[in-house]
Amino acid sequence: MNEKSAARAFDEEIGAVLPLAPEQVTAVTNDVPDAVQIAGALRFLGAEWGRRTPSSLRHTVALLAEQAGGSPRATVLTVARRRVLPLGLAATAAAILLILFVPAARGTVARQISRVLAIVQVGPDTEIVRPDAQTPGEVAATLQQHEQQLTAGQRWHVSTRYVGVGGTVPLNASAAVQRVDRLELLRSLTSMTIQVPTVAHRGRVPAFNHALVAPDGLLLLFFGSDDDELLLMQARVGGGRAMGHSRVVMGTDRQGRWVSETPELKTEELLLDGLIVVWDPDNTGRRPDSSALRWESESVSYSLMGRALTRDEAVQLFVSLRPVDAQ
Amino acid sequence: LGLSSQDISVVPDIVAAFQRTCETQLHAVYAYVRYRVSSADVAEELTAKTFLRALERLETFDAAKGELTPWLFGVARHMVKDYLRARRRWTWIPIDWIVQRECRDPNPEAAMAAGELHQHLAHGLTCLSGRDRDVLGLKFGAGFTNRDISRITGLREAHVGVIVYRAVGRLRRQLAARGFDHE
Repeated sequence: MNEKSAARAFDEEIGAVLPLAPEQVTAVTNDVPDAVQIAGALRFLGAEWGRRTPSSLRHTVALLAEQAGGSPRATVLTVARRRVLPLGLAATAAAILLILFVPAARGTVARQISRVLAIVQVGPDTEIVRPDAQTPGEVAATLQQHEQQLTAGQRWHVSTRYVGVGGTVPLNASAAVQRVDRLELLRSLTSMTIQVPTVAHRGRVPAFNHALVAPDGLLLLFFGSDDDELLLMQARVGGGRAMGHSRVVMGTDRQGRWVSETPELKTEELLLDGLIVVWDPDNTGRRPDSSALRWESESVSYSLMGRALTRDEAVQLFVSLRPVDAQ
Repeated sequence: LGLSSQDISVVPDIVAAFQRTCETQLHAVYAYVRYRVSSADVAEELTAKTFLRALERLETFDAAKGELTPWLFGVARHMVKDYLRARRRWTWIPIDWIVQRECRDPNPEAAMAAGELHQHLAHGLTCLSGRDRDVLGLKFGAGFTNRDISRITGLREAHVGVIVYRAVGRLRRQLAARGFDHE
């Protein structure tokens, strides 16, 4: 049987399954061959999605239908941009970059960020998340919770010119972030292999400057200084730990309340040395130092940043990275 | 974006047909768009935009050239295509992740989506080509026959059948590769 005939026969077979109600499809497909079972399950999925059409959408389309008939209408055409806050016209529009270090599986991200617009999957346990904008109430609650957890020593947080990064303090551990100035000492404090750039960056090979070791083991490695300063972030992931990055611009609305906006991601996937790495440039227009090259390798999540680092510079540095032992 | 009733100069029959289509095809359009994009929020917005665009362009609909439903799905397909083109460098949220989120919904309806097979399939869809997802969305999301799909997409009917056949085969192979045992 050629493919066309097989396809025709298959279509006839599934023709008996598809018109059935979802419950019937499930029942019937228990005894039918695999491909037909899959077709039934696909139809079930479609029917289920259709059945869960959001009520707000039903309302909008009903109003559009009314409008077509020339009926008086309400404000029906705001759906497409309902999440966009008037931040462009906001008063202060301070930009804050947040990185969420999520010490759990990706499901946790969903619990911490109730609405997610997009995710760029960097590796099995590294994601760039674009959360939905938050209302003033949600922002206030988030900030309050953050403050409470910091005060209680449950979370740690470090602010740099490149990124704000935070995470959960392990039980019975100190919430203090440790500064380490010598590579030898740093190596004794971590099980991760420390990577160092070995190519000249803006005129000289960036030398190790210092590192910050977070309570949960995340490393912030600083190389060089001033204009050629680099930050390489390394975090052990897997086994229930994941790294989530997100950019949130916060500012105040006309009433002076904190609101947040999440610009569209501008990520670009690159294949370097057989590894997919993601260029994640600043999409806020306000934090050029936050542009980062991100990748995950052997259960370690990496982010490389620098002073207004360009993609080409980041790629050169990535290719030059060597384990500190191999130097 | 606002339209007034004066903007819409179409014959009453078409208006009535559009109103009926809004009622009867909303779920199918939404399910189709869910097949094409992985985020429920994005699907909601694109579906709303589809009906809005259809209303804006209703006067361009020519009943002599076909029925309103295929025309509406043509609008939906363009909407999705434009959206994906604008974001082609993005990797969208895997549908299985969305299902995972929805599984935590206490709503008993959501529990149905928790089936392992559906999760695997939802994830498998993200690995298919845009054309495969388009055709599968029309077939299994919107519930069209191959002939309907042929009219909507311009593909030959036999070709539609082959695309469905191959895509389901790919999903089967993906399931096997993931060690999914459907028995």
